[in-house]
Amino acid sequence: MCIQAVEIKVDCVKIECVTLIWRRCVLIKVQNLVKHYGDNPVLSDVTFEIASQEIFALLGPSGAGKTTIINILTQQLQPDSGEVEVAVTPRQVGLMLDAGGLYPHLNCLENLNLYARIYGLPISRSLEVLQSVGLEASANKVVSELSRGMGQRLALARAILYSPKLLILDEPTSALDPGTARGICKLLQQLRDDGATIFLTTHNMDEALKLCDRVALLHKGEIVVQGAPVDLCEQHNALRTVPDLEAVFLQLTGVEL
Amino acid sequence: MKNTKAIFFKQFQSLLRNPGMIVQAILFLVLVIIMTFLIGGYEDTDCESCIPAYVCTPCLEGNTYTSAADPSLTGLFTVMFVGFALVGSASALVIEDKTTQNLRFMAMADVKPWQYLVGTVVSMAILSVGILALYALVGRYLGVQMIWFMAITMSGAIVSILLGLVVGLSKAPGLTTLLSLVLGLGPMLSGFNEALARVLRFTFTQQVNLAVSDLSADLSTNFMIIGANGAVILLLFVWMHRKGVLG
Repeated sequence: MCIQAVEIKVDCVKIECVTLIWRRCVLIKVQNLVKHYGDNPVLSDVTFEIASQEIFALLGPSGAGKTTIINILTQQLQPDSGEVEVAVTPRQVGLMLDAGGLYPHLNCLENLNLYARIYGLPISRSLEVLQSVGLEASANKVVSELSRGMGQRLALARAILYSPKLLILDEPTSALDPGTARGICKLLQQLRDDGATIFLTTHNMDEALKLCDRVALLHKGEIVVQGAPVDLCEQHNALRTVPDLEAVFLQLTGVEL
Repeated sequence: MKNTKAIFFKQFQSLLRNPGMIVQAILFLVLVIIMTFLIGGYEDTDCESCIPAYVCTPCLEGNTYTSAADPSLTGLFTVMFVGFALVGSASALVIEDKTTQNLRFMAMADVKPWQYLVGTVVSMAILSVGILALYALVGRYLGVQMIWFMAITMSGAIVSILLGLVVGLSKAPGLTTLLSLVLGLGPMLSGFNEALARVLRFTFTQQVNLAVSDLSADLSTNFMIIGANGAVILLLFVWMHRKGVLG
């Protein structure tokens, strides 16, 4: 927990006072991040912070630079310039890359057991996590026989197996039917309530609106706006009958998602 | 230790579920059985200029080269298993770990490169012991000869697995096919070509082939060359680790 001085506004009277409040710590701090692939700029001056126990989403179309940011956060890529601080060790990070990290010829349980052994967890933990993503009936099914959505749920199970402090999820619900996606969103909120910080990328504005505490809209490697989803909708007159993040993105970039 | 054990269990499961290595081992074993029992051996020859790996045609015809051992069919097929199947299988295991991003996840979970190396080598070596014991029995290497057969072929097998790992981890995993062809078939082909025999005598598979041909001879040179091959490959692994190829 961090202690910070704040400025409080009451009605129209500005009262400046120094108050000690509990504020959640910053878990990820990215400042002026720049990355090029050859001559192509992929990220330009990207800056954002994620507090602990926050669900933060990067929204943007394909090629906006979302996966590049994930690769930089997980130390797979070095930025050309800028600062990246992640306050947890890589061992405390749960990473989900589409259906990555799964062996097609091993079954669901065997796939999880590899990491259960590495993290010194009992094998029962693998079953418990399979249950939480609704795959307990497929525990002995070989991964190559799973549907894409089931593979994605297993990849999520692998990422949350060891109760990581930070979860980095690359489009965690892209191949899921609406019902399963809602279940996964509930699970992510539960993990956040249990103390995890969640960084995710998504195309799904509706999901981001309901799930995330804050979002950043990424377009051509630049963050065009960031904040709480409802606030963004309010600022850009996209509240209408229901808040519409897609309209905010269209208004700011001229591009439809 | 738990990381090494975890890698060991996973690789062992992968080898059983994706049994390319076992299928090739059985295939070569069947060929040994067919050829040993249906085709006769070579006659003894004697020639000063010939080397054990290559016996020239006049020597073969004149039966004059006594220091050359009979090329062992079991030896040749054992070499094919060691050089061909093991290099390919080890490389395939690593390539799968790489393409499924598991090497990345393992690195994030603090699995050290040496733990990955030991876990993989041990799992493949244990399977190889069983397979090579079958080859020894088919080749009728019994008693002390079986011990020497297992020692020389297992040392070759470990070098082969290491090589497969390194090639699989490298940026040119496509080299696996070329290397396994040269190492697996080279010793057999060198019996027909002197130049090839002279070049390949520095490879571990040729040394396994030569040693298996005459297990009663002094095998220290064979072990030394196999060990040198292993040391070079290990150095390559360390170099790749330092260059960051292993994550």
